[in-house]
Amino acid sequence: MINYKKYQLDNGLKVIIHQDKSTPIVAVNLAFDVGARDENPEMTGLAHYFEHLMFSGSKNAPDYDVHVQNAGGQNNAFTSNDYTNYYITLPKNNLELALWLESDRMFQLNLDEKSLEVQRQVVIEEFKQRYLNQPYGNNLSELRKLTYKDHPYQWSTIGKEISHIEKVTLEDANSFYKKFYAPNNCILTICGDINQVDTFNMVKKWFGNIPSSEITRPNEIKEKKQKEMRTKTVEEDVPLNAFLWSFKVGTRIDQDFPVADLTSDILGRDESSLLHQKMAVELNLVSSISAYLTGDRGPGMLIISGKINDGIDFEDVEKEIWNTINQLKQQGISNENLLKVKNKFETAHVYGEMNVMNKAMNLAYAELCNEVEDINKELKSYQNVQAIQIQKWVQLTLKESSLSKLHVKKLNHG
Amino acid sequence: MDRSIAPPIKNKIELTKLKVQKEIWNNIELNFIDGGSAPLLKIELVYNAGSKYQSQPLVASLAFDILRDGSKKLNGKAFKETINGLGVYYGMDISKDFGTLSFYVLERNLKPLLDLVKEVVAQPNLPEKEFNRLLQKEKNDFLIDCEKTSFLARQKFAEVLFNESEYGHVAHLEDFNKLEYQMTKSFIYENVVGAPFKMLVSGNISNSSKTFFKQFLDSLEITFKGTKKQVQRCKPINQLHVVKKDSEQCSLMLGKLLPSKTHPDYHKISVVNTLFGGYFGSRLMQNIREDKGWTYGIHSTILNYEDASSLVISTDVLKDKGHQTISEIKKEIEKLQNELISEKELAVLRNYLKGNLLKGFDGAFEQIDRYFSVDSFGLDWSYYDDYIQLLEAITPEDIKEISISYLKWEDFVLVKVGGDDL
Repeated sequence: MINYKKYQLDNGLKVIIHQDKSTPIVAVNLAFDVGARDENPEMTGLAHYFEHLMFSGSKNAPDYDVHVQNAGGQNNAFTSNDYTNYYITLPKNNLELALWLESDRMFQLNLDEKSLEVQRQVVIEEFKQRYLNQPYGNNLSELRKLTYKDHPYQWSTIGKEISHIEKVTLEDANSFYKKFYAPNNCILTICGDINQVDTFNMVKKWFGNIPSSEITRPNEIKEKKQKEMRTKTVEEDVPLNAFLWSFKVGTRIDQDFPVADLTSDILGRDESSLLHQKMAVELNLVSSISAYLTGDRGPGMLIISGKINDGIDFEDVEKEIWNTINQLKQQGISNENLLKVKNKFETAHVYGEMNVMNKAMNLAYAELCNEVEDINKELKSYQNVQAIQIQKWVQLTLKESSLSKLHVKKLNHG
Repeated sequence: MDRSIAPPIKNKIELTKLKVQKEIWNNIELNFIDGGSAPLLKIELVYNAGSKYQSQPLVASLAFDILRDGSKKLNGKAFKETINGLGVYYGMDISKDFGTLSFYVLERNLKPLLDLVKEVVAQPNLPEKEFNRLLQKEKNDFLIDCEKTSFLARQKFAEVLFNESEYGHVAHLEDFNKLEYQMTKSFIYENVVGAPFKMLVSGNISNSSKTFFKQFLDSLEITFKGTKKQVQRCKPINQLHVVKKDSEQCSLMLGKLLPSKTHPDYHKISVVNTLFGGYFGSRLMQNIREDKGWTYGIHSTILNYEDASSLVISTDVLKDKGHQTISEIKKEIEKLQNELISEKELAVLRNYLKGNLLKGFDGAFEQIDRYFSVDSFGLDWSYYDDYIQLLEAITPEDIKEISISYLKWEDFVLVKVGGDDL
C-alpha cells in the first residue's frame, strides 16, 4: 500500500507525491505521454532518438548531466512504444535541484546541430549493439511487423530501420519537442523522505509557469481483426532454430489483465512453468522456452518464444505448445498451480515497493495508463483471479486466428 | 523565481550503516542486517565453490545448474514446483571465487523454504539425465554467445590477462565433450555438501525468523573445514590480441592487473577509475560517446577477485574505429598522467561518488552487499569511513600520481574482436 497525494497544476502537469521516511534518497520521475506509437511511420525511432536529445542541456543548465552528478545524483531514461520516462535519484536535500533541471529542460531545451549529429551516431550504434550485432537481436522487431498490420506497435522503439534515424532534421526534433514535451503531457512523481506540502510548493515554483501545448493526436489507429494464423520464416546465421509466437491479447487496463498476466506466468514464467517442464525438461525439444505479456496500454501480445534443439522440427514444437494450451482449455488449472503464480507475483510486488525509484516509476505508469490508485488495487486484483477465469481466457484468446508465428531458421553452411 | 540561478545543493552525506550481527552457529558464520519494514527477506549461502576450485572448465557451472534439481526427498519437478509455489525468487550461481545460493522470500514462507534448502544442500538429487540436458543447453547457449563479439572479447581478455592462473581458464567448445557427469557430482560433494559456508540475511528479521535460521544451521552436518584456494600467479600477455569476426561493430576490451582492495592506494585507484570510465561524466564516455559518437557506451570498472584485481575497459564501437578508439583510450590515460584535473571536475566527481555511496547504503538489501564486498577481503565497515575521508582529501596531484603508478600503458593487455580496420 502506497500513500500518496495527487495534484494538478493549472498548466496541466499532474503531480504525485509519496513520502517514504526510510531512505536518504529521493526519486524524481517524469513520464511523458509520447512513445514510438506516436511516430510518423516514415520517421520511426524518433521518440527514442529524442530521448537522447533531452540530455543536450537547457537554457539555464547547459550541462544537464554535470548538474545531476554534482548533486550526487544518478539519472537515466527509457522509451517504450507507449511512453518516455526520465528519472533521477539523488540525496534528499538536493531535491530542488532536480526540479529546477527538469523544469528547465521541459521549458527551454537546447537543441543544436552538434548534439543532433553526435546522438544520431550514438543511437545508430545502439541500434547495432542491441539489435543488429546480436544473434536473434532483430527477431522481436520482425514479430511486431508480423503481428500488427495497422497499429503503430508494428515497429520497435529503436525504429524500423537506420535510414529513418538518418533523415531526422533539427526542425523535426524541434517540432516533436514543442508538441509533446509540455506539462499537460507529463506526470511528475516524487518519492522520498520529503514534506508533501513543501515539495508541492517547490513543484509549483519551478513548473507552474511553463505553458501547456496544444496536443492534437490523430485518432488511434485500430488494429483490424486478424482472421487467420500468420507464419513467416526468416533465415539467419544463428546456431539454433528459434520460434517466436504472438497471440493478440487485450490492453493493460482491461479488467482481465491480471488473468492474462497470470496465464502467461503459468505457461512460461519460470522453470516450473507448464511449457518449460513439458518441453524443455520432459521432452527435451527446446533449449529454452518462455512466455510473457507485453503489457501495453494498447492491444498487447502474449509472446511464447524459444530456441529449438538440433534435430527437432518446428512442427514437433508447435504440436506440443498446442497440447499444453488445449489441456488448459479442457481441464483448466489446479488451484495449487494458480496459487503458485499468485505467490510469485506477491513477492515481486512487495519487492517493488521497497525502493523509492521503483515506486516513483510505478506510480507514474499507473496514472499514465489509467489512474494512480490502481497501484493499490493491483495485488488484490491478482489474488482474486479464479482458476475458471484462466481457463475461459485461454479458450477465448489463445486460438489460431489470433496467432502470428515467426520461424527463425539457421542458415546451412556449405 | 530566477531560473538562471540553480538551487543550492548540499554535499555532506551521512551514511547510516546498519548493525551487522555476526554469530557463529554450528561452525557457520551467520550475518544479519536487520532493517526495513517490508515482510521480505534476502538470504544468501556463499560457498567457497567458484570456478577456481574446478578441475576443468564448466564443472562448477554445471554442478550448480544441476543443484537446482531438488533433493533425495523431492525430485527436480517437485522441488521446483514447491519452491516457486512459495513465491520464492532464487538463484544458484557461480563466480570465479564463490558458489552462491540466493533467495528472496516472503517472511511467512521462510520456514518451509529453509526446510527445502536444507534437503538440497545436505542430500542433493543431482540426476544424470538432467545433467545431460543441461550440458546440451549450456552448449547451445555457448554457441549463441560465440556469435557475439562482446562475448568473444570477454573470453579472450580473461585468457590473456589472467594467463597461467585459474582465473584465465575459460570454456572452449571442446570442453563440452570432455565434461563428465561424475566430475560435477564430485564437485558438489567436495565443495557444497557438508561444507561450511557464509550465510547472509537481510531485511526485516523477526526473532522467530532468527530462530528458524539457527535451527536450520543446527540441522546441517558440517563434515569438513573448507579451505580457500589461492590461484596461480597471473602473467598477463601485454600486447594487442586480434580475433577476426564478421560483425556490425568492433568489440574492445583493455585492461591490466591492479593491487587488491586491501592495498593502501586502493581507494585512490577506485576514484581514478571512476574519473576515467566509471560514470556517465567520465573522460572516456565524454570523449568516445558524447564527443565522437563512435559508441553507445564505454566503461571502465575494477573487478575484484579474491586473488587478483583488475581494471577492465570495454566498449562496442563503429566497425572502422577499433584502432582509433584504442589510440583515444591511450591518449586519455596520458592526459591523466600529464595534466592535473581541474578543481571543478574533481568537485563533481567527489560529489557524484558521495551520492553514489549513499545510494549504495539505501536499505538492508543494499547494505548486505556492501558488507560482503568488504568482509570477503577481511575488511569491515570502517572501509567506507576511510573512503569518505579519502574522497574529501584526494587532490589533483594524487590523481596524477596514481595514474602514473597504476596505468602504465605497457602493462595493458588489448583485445579487439571484429571490425574491418585490420
